[in-house]
Amino acid sequence: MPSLIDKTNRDLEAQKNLALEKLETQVDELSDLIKEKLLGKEVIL
Amino acid sequence: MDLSNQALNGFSAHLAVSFNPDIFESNIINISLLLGGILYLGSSALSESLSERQEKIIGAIQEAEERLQQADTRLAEGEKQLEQAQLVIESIKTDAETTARKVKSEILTDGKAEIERLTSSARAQIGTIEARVRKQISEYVVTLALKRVTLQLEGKLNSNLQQQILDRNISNLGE
Repeated sequence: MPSLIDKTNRDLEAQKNLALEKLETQVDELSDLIKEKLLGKEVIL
Repeated sequence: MDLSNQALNGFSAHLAVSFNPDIFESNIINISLLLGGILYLGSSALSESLSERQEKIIGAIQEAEERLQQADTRLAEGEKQLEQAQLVIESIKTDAETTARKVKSEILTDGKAEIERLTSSARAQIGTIEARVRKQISEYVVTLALKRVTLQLEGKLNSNLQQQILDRNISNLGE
């Protein structure tokens, strides 16, 4: 029977993975925004 | 009858003790007078002895009654002391229960206040840490995004693109 600490660790690990995915998305969106502000929408790298 | 007398006489002769029916020969009157005198003279001594014994018995009874009375008095005192001791015990028990209830209430109140204080402190610390982490994450995201853009621009930032960027920024200055 898993202990409460094990269950909490698993939950935290899942939340961390979800947060990293969201951060990755935010990084992409922010880099796109920077490029847009810097180069304009019409410039595609 | 003769045979029985003979047998009685023979038996008496054999024992050497015989009953003499002659009153004068057997001194019954003398013996009776002697006994009467003894009883007459001894009655006063006997009466005196009995009276003395009666006094002793009465004295012993009175002494026993006094002891009984003393024992009753002591019993009454003991019962009174027991009653007082029970009252004291009851009072102590009541006081102890009151004190226990008061201490229990104080402990519960203090514990509740301490828990609320710790909870409030923990919430404040969590808020501070959360704000710091959010700031760090924001800085990390910005840094990572800038690095990613820098990597994408490396090798592609030719003179044509640089001119486009300059033109765009100049036009933005006018807006």
